[in-house]
Amino acid sequence: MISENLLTLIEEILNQEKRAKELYEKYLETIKDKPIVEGLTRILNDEKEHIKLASEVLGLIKHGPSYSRVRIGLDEFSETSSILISCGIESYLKVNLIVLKKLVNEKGLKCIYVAINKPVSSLIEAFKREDIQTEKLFFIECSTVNSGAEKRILAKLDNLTNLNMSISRLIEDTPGRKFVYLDAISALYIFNPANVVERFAHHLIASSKSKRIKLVLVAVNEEIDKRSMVALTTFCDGKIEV
Amino acid sequence: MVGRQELVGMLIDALSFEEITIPARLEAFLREIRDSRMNETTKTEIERNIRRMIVESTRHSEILTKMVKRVNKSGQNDF
Repeated sequence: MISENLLTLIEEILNQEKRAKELYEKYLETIKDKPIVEGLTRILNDEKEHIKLASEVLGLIKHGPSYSRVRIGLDEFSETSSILISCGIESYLKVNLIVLKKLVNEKGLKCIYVAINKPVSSLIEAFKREDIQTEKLFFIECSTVNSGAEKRILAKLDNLTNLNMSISRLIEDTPGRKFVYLDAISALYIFNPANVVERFAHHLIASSKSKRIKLVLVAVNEEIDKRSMVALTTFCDGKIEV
Repeated sequence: MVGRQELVGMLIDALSFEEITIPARLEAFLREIRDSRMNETTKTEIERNIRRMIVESTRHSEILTKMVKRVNKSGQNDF
């Protein structure tokens, strides 16, 4: 249970740090004296760090220890690695938010988001509430129902060859630094035999590597059996357990 | 460029922010964290971030105080 008081306090602190950053930036526009400019620049750089520190604290309060585990895990892998994140159903939504905040908001990567478990329209709503920069997200919607959301490509859950082609096309059409996020690969086992999903995952990992793109696969423990989890783990460069 | 009086006013505003407003909130937050029933590892991580912010705010106050003294002592009018 999160204390409301703690949340209010850290949100106030975060806002104050942002105000301090704005204040010093404004000062530096008008002050020209070299020693003063040097001192204020040093303080401004600290304020930028404080915004990061306060945001981290906010994340820790909202999401608990899994917050650090996922963030540290993501830092350990290069931008061309494939990572499997295994989590319980109760932390599945948290994981999405933590990964997007880290890779999209902080590292500035664009995200090719393969939405398997939820309709894109509801994901966008949830992400906007958490200040995720949704303009950097490009969706492939695999929901069985058309959510009517803009900015997405449709793909069928039981046609993984087609899904792979849609991902490849979107990778090519999206310029700049990016990563592919599969939310959640474990749900594909509901619609396809295990060997088909594993072949799809193997191909996707190899093709992301050849294109030098980071790939993040999420597997919800309750949706997948042990043998399949082991297979996915051996294909990927690393695993983060939440 | 800014005049001497204007600059002193700006620095004093920043000083009160760094010396009073921010540390008060950070200390209050730290107390709440210590009293909370949060997991110990998370608590430690949060405390580390907040302590660093307190230490750096104190350093900012020192830098700003030195700046105010220097501006007041100098014969310079424009900065």
